Amino acid sequence: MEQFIAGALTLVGSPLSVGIFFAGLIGGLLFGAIPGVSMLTLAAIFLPFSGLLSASDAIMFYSVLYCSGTYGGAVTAILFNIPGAPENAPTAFDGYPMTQQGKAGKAIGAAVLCSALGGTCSVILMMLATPLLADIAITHFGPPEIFALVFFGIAVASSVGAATLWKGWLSILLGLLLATVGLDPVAGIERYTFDFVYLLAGLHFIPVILGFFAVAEVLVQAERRVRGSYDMPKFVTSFPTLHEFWKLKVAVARSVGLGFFSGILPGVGATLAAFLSYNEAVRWSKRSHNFGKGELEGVVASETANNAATGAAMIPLLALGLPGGALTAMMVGVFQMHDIEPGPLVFVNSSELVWVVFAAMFFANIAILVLGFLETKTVLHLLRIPFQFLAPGILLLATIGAYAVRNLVMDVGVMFAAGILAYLLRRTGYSIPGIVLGLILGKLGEQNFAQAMQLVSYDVVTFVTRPIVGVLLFAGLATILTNVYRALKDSRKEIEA
Amino acid sequence: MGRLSPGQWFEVGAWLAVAGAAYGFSLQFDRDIEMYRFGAAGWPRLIILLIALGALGQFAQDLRKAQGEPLSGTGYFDRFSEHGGGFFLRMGLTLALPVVYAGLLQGMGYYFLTPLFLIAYLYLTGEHRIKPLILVPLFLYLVVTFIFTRLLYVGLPTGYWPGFYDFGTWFVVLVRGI
Repeated sequence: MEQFIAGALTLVGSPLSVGIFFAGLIGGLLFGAIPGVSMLTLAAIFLPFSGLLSASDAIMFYSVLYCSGTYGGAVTAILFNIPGAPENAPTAFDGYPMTQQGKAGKAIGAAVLCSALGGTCSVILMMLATPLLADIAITHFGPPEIFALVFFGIAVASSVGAATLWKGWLSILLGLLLATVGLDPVAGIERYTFDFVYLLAGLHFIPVILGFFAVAEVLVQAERRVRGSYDMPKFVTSFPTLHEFWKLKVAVARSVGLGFFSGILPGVGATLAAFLSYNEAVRWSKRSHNFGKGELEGVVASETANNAATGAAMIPLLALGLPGGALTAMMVGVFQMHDIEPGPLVFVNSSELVWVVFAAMFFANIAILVLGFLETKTVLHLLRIPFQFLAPGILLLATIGAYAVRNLVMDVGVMFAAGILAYLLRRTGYSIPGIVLGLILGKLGEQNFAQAMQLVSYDVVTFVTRPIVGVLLFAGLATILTNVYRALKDSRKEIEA
Repeated sequence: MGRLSPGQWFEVGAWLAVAGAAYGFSLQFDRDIEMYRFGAAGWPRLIILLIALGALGQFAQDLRKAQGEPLSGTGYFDRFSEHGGGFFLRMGLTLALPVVYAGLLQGMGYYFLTPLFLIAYLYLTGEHRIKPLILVPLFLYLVVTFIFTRLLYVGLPTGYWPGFYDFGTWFVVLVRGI
């Protein structure tokens, strides 16, 4: 407790530190909302200048940016079906339908509260348990376990968002197939590149996500206008009530746990946290048929988990020097610029810096609550603008976002191609979230599968008898079989009717 | 045997075509990897097999549901035909517009082409009043371009075709000089 107070006092000790704190907070909120640009752009721009600051100010900026940037992408996901980052994609599944039903205020209010709650819980857990949890995560979770986790996530996702179970699986499989474009993760052999240099690095997920969500939505609304059946969404600024939140306490607690657990695993992070949490919310909810149509629990699950992953991602970074994603990888660079090696010794040699980071993240999550509600009151008014005039703005931002990722016009082309494909698939009952999940998890799954097989010398028995692998594979298979049984039962009922 | 709509036949055909094409192209990288038994093509081929099975499974389900039922025409392409040729044409143009824009972007540049693209989109989606048709895209274009070009220094394509490159670079210098 004394260390936390000391860290907090250091944070407010100088005007520069306070200024850096708010710069990270507001920068993350703004940049996090712009797809393609995102908090990583701001982080990269700031990196060279971080050497001019003290170590604690520099690291504090990145930690605060991580918290606010992860929330920032939720706003555009909810209002316009444009996730600011992949970890905000599940938020759009139910957040945007809520906007269309006139419940944008509820959705954003839920996102604000849950992001703050998830992030704060994560920071508290992080402060209490960093060394112990890092050890468990690193020693017990290897490639076999990560592959099994991916398999489990995909098995659960197959039942979400599509008109039939077969279409759900086909959606995910399409995403997995798209993820194979590029170089294979073992030997770097070109796959489906057709001698195009552009495809050597595979399809970048930002343009694809922009296409699948933003462009596809613009095209769907365009069809409604062309058909003459377009209706303005109702505009209501009511926020979720405490009673509504209390009813979702189990979902929140589960999402904090899943988010924190996923965030600790190096390389896994907030994206898988958000998808896993959303999938589990679908599985356990009594209103699972409402998911994808504007169910508040969907927004709650996703936003709680992705922010819960932010604190957890600091654990392997601080305790073992292992970055969990792009932003934490940049933070390793910041540490090294200040002659500090992240790892167990950082708690001994630079403990005051560690506690400044903890305090900064704690207060950042509290500040998200206040700033988020203020932002909601203003941003919601964008919904008063008829969509046919918002659509050009969305297309503009999406175009710039897709181009800004790698300065390649091809990414803009890929975005529009993905948008047209998603528009056609949506109209025929396929699951765009499923495709996105397959695309994001495909490379992770294949890479870890290859490493796992080499680790166990291709002995399947050794592979499945690893405890965590066995549990996850069994749970995944049980999920698949349950879904098949339910689908056959429903199909028989339909035919009899 | 039940009757399926043309859309359902097209769906299963499209998926099997995707699986077939993906398998065919996988022959190009079907190479052994010394340290990895399944090679570069193992994982993609597993996915391809599952896609083919999934497509046939969906097809079988559609057949079962269609048994004894009259042809319902509830697929997307079936509903499309209710609206006639004009609708088809407008939606086709609306879908083709972004492809044309992306194709011309490299040569003509973002700064010249984008306002035209936005105006064309608005027109195709039914906005025919001159003032909003011109002013709304122009306003959005100027504000967003100013933010990204002047404040964030995001480099956008200036084009490389003669004339368009000159316009693009002139515009960037103008905006950054503000």
